[in-house]
Amino acid sequence: MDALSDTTHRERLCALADLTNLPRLGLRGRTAAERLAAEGFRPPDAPNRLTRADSGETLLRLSQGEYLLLGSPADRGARVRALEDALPKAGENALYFLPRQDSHAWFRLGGPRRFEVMAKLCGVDLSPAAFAADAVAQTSVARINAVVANDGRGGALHLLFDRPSAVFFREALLDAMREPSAPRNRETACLVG
Amino acid sequence: MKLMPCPLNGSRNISEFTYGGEVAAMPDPTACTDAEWADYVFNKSNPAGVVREWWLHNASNYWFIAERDTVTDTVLRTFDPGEIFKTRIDFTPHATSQENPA
Repeated sequence: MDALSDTTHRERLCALADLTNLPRLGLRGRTAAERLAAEGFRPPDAPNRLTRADSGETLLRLSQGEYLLLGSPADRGARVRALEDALPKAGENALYFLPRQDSHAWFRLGGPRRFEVMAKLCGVDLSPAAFAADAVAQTSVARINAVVANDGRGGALHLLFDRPSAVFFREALLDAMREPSAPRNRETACLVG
Repeated sequence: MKLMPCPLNGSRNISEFTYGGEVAAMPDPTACTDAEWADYVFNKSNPAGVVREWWLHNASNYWFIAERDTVTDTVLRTFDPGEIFKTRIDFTPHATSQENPA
């Protein structure tokens, strides 16, 4: 195996997908959980947790009263888009719509090495032992603010961050994905040498 | 590394936070004098000892309050502002309806 094919092999162990064009929205307010439940979603019991709907949507709870709903790739986010169209935009009945389509980019990081890759970019311990399935962390990743959601059922991490930083963040992630992990250093050094 | 315990997100690197100034009692903006309002906006007490301060966790855009000893630079406690601020304050209630009748 030469150095190039080894790099490709490492990338296969970790896959990055750009889901930025899938619909997503935020909801905030005292009645936000009630409204989401009425739409058939299960609001998480505590902040910084997520739930998955059977139809594939992911619902993140970011604080006591703020939620982020990610559309499903299965229906190209149609259910979330329909909900967005039905929501009052001006804030009624203690319910505030938060547009997230243009503010945030959305990457999905899958593969068995995803936690190793995050360890290179984030100071918070996101290993499976500390960052359980269905947990959410709002922190600094590659020096930009990001929401990291550990989708246990989907076997992937969802990363949401400032949309204008998408090109930088993509490069930072790809660089971390290509970089050999500590235990592999010796092997890679031999391959290159 | 200096750590700050965020009430919402747990212990995080201090670089994830922004300092927001002392917590001070706000005078009624419609009833107080200009001098009282200026004192509230511009003057800080800056005591040596335990103070209450506003802090922002940048990644979650979450404001909270920290009790910090300015002599030892030790954070004693952090908590949600809802412990102190129980009601919403509207600064311009119903101001436009009479000015622009439909």
